Amino acid sequence: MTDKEKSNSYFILNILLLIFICLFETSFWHWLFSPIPSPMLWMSVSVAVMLYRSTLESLIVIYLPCLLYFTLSTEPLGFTLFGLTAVSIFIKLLRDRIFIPGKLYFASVYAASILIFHIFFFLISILTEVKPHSHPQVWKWFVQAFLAFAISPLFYSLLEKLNPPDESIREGGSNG
Amino acid sequence: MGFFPIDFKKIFIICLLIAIPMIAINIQRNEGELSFFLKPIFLTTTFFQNSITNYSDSVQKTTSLYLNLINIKKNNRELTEKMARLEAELLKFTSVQLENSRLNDLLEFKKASPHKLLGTRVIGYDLLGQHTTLFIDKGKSDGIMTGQAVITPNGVIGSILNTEDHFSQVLTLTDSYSAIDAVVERSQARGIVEGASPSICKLKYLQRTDDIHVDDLIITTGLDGIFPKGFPIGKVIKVDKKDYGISQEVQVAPLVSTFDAEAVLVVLKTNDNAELDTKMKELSLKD
Repeated sequence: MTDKEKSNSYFILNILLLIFICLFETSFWHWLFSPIPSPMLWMSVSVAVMLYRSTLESLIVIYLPCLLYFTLSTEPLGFTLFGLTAVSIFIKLLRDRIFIPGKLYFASVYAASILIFHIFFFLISILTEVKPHSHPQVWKWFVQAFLAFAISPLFYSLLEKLNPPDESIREGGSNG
Repeated sequence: MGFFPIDFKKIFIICLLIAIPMIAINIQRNEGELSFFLKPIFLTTTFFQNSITNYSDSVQKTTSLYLNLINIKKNNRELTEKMARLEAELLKFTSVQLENSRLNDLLEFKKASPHKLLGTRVIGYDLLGQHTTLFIDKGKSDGIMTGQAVITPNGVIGSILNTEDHFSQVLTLTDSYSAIDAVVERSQARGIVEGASPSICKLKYLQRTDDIHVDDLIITTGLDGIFPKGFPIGKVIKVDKKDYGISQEVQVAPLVSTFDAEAVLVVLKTNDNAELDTKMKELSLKD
């Protein structure tokens, strides 16, 4: 198996992992840990792809699973897409300027992505909805971000294995 | 010395030796107390017997204890494991018992209710967390349609948002997209209950003059044709009447926590007007 084929097959594994995490988060998390808000574990896969893979692959991981998010949530599809696009732009901008391979960097970006996702979600709701979210649950956002930061080292090695950062990213980060 | 020398001393001793057993044979053992001369002997012997037996017992016990240490440890381990297993089973049993009790309540409520209800199990929650929706394990194939009410014996949960063949999505009353026609039970002041946050609702469009207090019970009107009439929604926790404006802000805490519901009932058909219809028919027949 060539490196390209290996990378593609790992990318498909990312998608499968994302689906599995989404299903876990909507069912088991609540039975096991309710009322603790789930740390949006599915976002970790998206963040890993956005951080360590190409723009095209990042776009796939934004748009394709949105169909799944749409079935598992009441949130309008456009809102989810908007939120994820905002996260993607944030990660790309950050990655081009600062890139530090390792758990801490990944955990920080993952936690920040959750906050950005929620903030953009809230803003777009205020701007476009007739009946917007009037009560932003800021404490919940921060709990989720904190949990994400704390939990991510547990599955970082798996995500790193599935998304090995290529040399161009390393060089881009260090040059930027 | 004579031809038959007779030693009387020997003869006497022999006779005595024969006589004593002969006499002893005839002595009868009497019931009751021992003879005075036997008592000291009996006491001495029993004392020694007792001491020896006690000593022997203690030695035997110590020896057996020492010899059985391995068995004791093994038994202890087995018993500890058994106890842990039994404790786990007890916990499981208690959990099943509680679940059984809850389901029994649901079943009794379903039987007693005049409405056509369908029992379902909650199988999942909203992924993105901005909204509060539930997924239930029944769908179109079970007669569920969009807009139907979802309740528990304790109060309203929400309404069906989407339905597929074998599962449905429930929009809970605390979701910002949710709106339920409601009245204050005590004063019959009417408004709309809308979701505000995962644990709070707002009662909107109340008149400024409407009579409402903290702890008032908010119930469904039944006029929307979705929720059964007079079904509890929540309790008033805050009333904010500002100096200006035509309405007042009222916060309501739902009676049922969305995240605690394991099993819910879908109202397939309300039966609020059945009694009224019967009376109307009776009246028309009389006319």
